[in-house]
Amino acid sequence: MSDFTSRFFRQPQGIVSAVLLTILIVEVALGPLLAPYDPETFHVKSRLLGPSTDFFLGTDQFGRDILSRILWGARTTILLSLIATLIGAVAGGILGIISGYLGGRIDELVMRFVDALMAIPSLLFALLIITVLGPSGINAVIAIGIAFSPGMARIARSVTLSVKTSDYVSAAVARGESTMWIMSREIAPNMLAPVIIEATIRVAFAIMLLATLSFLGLGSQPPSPEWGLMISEGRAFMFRNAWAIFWPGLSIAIVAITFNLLGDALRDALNPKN
Amino acid sequence: MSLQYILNRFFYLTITAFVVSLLVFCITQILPANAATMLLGEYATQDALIALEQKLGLDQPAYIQYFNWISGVVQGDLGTSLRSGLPVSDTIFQALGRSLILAAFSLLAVVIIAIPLGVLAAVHRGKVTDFVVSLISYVGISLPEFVLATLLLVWLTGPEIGMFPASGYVPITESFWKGLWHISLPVITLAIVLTAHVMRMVRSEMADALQTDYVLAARLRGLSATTVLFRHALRNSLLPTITVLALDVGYLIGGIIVVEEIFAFPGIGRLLIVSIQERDLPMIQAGALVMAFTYAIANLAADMAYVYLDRRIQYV
Amino acid sequence: MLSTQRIDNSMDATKTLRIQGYSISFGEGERALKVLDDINLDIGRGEVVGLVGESGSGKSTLALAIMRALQGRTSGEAGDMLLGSDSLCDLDEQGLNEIRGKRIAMVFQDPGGSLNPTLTLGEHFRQTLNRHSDLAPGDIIKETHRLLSMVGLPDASTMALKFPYEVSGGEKQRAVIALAFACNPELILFDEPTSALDATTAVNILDLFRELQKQTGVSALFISHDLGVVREIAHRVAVIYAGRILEIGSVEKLYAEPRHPYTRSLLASLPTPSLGEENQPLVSIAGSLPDRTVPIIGCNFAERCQFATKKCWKEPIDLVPDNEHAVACPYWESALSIKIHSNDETPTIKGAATERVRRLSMENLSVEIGRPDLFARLMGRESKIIHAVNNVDLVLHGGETLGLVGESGCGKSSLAKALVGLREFKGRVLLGDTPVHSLGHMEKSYRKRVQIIFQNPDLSLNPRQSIATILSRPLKLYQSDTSGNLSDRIEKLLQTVNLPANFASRYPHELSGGEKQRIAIARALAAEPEVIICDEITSGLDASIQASIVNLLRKIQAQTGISYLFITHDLNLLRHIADRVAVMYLGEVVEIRPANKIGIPPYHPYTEALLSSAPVLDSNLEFRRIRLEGSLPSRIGRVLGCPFASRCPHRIGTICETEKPYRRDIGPDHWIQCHLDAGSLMAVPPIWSTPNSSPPI
Repeated sequence: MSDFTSRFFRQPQGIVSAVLLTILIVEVALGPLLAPYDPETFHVKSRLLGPSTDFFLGTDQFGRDILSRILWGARTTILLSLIATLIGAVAGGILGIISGYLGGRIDELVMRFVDALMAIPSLLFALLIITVLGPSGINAVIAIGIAFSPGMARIARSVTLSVKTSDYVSAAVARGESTMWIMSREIAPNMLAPVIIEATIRVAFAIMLLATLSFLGLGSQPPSPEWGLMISEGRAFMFRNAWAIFWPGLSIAIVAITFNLLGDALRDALNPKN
Repeated sequence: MSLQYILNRFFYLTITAFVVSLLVFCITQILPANAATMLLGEYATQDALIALEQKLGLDQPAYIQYFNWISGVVQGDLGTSLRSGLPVSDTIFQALGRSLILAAFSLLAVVIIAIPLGVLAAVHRGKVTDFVVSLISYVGISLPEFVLATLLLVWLTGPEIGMFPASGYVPITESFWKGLWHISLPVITLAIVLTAHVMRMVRSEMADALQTDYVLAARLRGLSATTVLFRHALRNSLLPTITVLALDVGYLIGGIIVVEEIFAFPGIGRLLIVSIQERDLPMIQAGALVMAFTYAIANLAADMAYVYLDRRIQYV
Repeated sequence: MLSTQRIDNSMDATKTLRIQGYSISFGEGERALKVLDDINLDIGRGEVVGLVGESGSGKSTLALAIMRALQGRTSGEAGDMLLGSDSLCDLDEQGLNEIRGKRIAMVFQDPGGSLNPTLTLGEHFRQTLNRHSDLAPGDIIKETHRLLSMVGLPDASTMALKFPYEVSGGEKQRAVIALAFACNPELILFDEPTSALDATTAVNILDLFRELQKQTGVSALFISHDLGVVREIAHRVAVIYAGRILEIGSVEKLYAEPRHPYTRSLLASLPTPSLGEENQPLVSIAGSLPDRTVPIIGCNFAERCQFATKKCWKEPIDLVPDNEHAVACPYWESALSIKIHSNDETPTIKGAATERVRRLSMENLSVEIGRPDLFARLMGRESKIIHAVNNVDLVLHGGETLGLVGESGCGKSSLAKALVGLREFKGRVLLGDTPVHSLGHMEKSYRKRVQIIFQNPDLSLNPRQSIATILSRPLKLYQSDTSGNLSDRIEKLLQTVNLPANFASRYPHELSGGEKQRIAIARALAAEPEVIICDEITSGLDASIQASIVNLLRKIQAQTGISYLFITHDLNLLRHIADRVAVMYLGEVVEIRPANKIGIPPYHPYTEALLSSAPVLDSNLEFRRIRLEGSLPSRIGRVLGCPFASRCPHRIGTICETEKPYRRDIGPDHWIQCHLDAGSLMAVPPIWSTPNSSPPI
């Protein structure tokens, strides 16, 4: 364990992502407490203002405080993205391990199916699912989770395949260990690393997809302070006050960068190359 | 590259297309809103609804509807738009054409910028160049298109700078420079994100290639640094890069949807969004199918290019 | 062996390579590891110097250091290296690039690794010739063909257009050697060039090099862990241990009269044919490499040397030249009279008296790999099923060790895997009298009684499980011997394999290769089996560690009466552990013979070739050379006649390809599957003999 931490913090990506991650955790946990205003209150006389001492980041077209909206929206954006990625990772991961371990006809069939699913780009896939489910934040999460599953399944399967041929798995099979044991105690611990890394990077992608869907009006609906939605709403007024789209945009970028950096740092820390 | 391999891949492509069409059809079938209701409005009489449903073939079981649709598709008839009443194929392919121009320019920019920068970063690994390139990559992959597009819109088309038009489309065929001017911002937006992805990939693959035994052996034969770089390392790094480019076409498709929406560019992405909002079922189905199929073709082309460059893969 | 014509260095004004007091460390500061310590070595014109050492000795590092291509952080570089009259250490990158490939060339261990997989062979040559010579493009092509033919590759023009994956390992290595000779270098560095090849292929490569060296008079540094290989190829040999050279001498002197205790121990740990006593146990060297992050005063071998005195630890030891034979040990002469002994206790009798009870029997055993490909069948082509094992009959008796020997592709691993339920098999397998089912239906009671140990210890232990977990699994699964609690039993297991009890809490990556393999043995023992299948378990290990593992296995067998199926590619090793030996080729067992008289004819032609490719270190022995042409045929599709027909030097006619040969009984425990009759087989002269033709071994 200490081996891992030292490798992790040896790199700039590790340190930076750890710092940013801490800030994000604080933001998600305490955001609403730190917000100076209620995110939905209209301050009619202070609409479309730039940053000031009253409103640190300015206000939007309804006079709502941008800072408060961002702090509240952190929960929505980040948590929803995490859940979406989790759905995709778990669903895809389980499918991948089983398919990879069982091999043979089952594996081929499943993989052909997964390949066909992967022929549909993620956003498109999510859009189609939203079309069926109807626009809302939760549905966006489900849609993204489903759209991620094929990709995660692919990764989980390929790692399972390479682990499956290791001698220690062969030794377990030769001993007569049960399939459950082999999958959970021999294979799973060794394939977690690449899957976790991939999932971390996908969180970044999930954030962007979620924001995009909201932006298109197909994700979170008003008056939710979801960051993508904020940008969409601010579009009509962008020439009068660009801050309404700048701050949410920056926040999205920072969260995405955090998880990308984290994924990279994890990759180097979990797979040491001498 | 053997004929058998090509046939094999085409066979595979057909199966993929088939499964995709099935998927698209299934998903859209679950749509609660009934097409006939949409057309006739909420207050239509029951009889009129049934009559229209019969006419549109909506009363038949799902698999018959699917079969009708698919046989139409194979013959080139993608159905009729519920919104405009016009054949879907015309609208779609026109829009597709415009989007392809967007995609083509974006990919061109990527190849010209991303690959050299990625190589540079790998060669100067750990130094300033690498750091700068990595930084730009990180920012690029962390910015969703719509954020970037919106920011560029604000910055470059606003009354202050007004360098580019905010929207509109002029066909290249009509006026080359005006057309170019109009698609500049969408292309720039797409290109930035794509470049970031590809740059990262090239850098990582090059860094790996430079560590291999055969590169070491080549250096130890006294070959010049350029020879080692280009004829050994780069060549072998390009292969996975091609795969990534193909994958990026998929990402590009997603990006196109967003970018066209923001810049009001009349391409297939915008068409799809509008169709979804208006529940124009035939258009949604056809649009999704066409996009997915384009992606599948791009992957096929990438596979074949890969095989051409590295003969081993055929035998795997 | 190279001609004994002396290379008289004193006459040559310039030697090809002079390494003077060279040292270098990896890493920086306090944790820097001194990899090479005060190396002094000369290579004369036209001379081949062998450098032998075990893993961690620094021999490969030296090669890269000469090429000035060490990667990673280095520090503490001292001394100089001179190529002719030019100092290599003074040259800048540009100067080095002029030299590399042109004056010094290098051949790596893995031929596949040093060739770019996406370029044709010819392209590699074109680049190198283009760089270092002034030949016109047309002449470059001609020269490429000439070089390819020079190394014995047939049909040079076609070969030049092939990609690396299209040619075999032996052919690749020939091409790499041709590439090294391309610009007529003064010096070629070989880093374990034959270690990745089969023995029969390796000897062909060595023959080739010897020829080329004679023709061109190039100097060479030949690095290997294999003393036998070096003897075939070098004029002088240097022995390196933990970064220091301990002995240098001419090939004849060093092997006949080794001086340094390390050299002597090394020679004693090798299983090679010799006229020595029967059942001479292999010597393993106790201890492990010293910690080189601190400067070592005195001899670096002292802590493992059985002759070490107090002075060995305190005084610096230098390489003292003595005519042609230099030693870094002041007490070597007095040590000569004492025999090198092993610190393992080995039973002198090999294995318990074999009871001739059939413990594990195989009848008509076949293993196929691959599934029928529907698509291929539709296209009317044969599906790619590999017949890995074909109708094998073998019996393993109680308390016996049956050796199974063959080169890569002979099916021995597939056989092993089938016996433990990792592969589907056809035919009959019986444990005792009970038949055993294949793969998915294998009985648990069988699995307990037949255990397997794999080749690569790095891969056979789950990196995320502690040693205690690893050892507890078989204990829990098989519930044998319920006395004592778990940790006690684990401690006992560790004791059996000579490992301390505190290893239980460690993880595999903290252990060395030899230690990991012992854990694998302990794991197999935990099930209290009747049979253990050892699948090339010592192939990746140093000779002295191999010796200790073999001794351990013999000790366990003497105590418990376990039978071993010992699979290896090293025929010589089997003399020390096996009772009988089965020889496998292309999925079939072609001969079974007793192990103690392994060198006495008659032999199966393939066995003959295998024996002759084994290295011989005893200078009192002469040996015949058999060289095989071609390479292993494809295993797809069944072979009608004798599997060895395509390469057999004793092939009599088409009958060899069309009809399966009989098994001829030659004697007790000895049969040969061949069309040649017993008389012709007996008439084949022995592989090893002494000049006075006294009874062979």
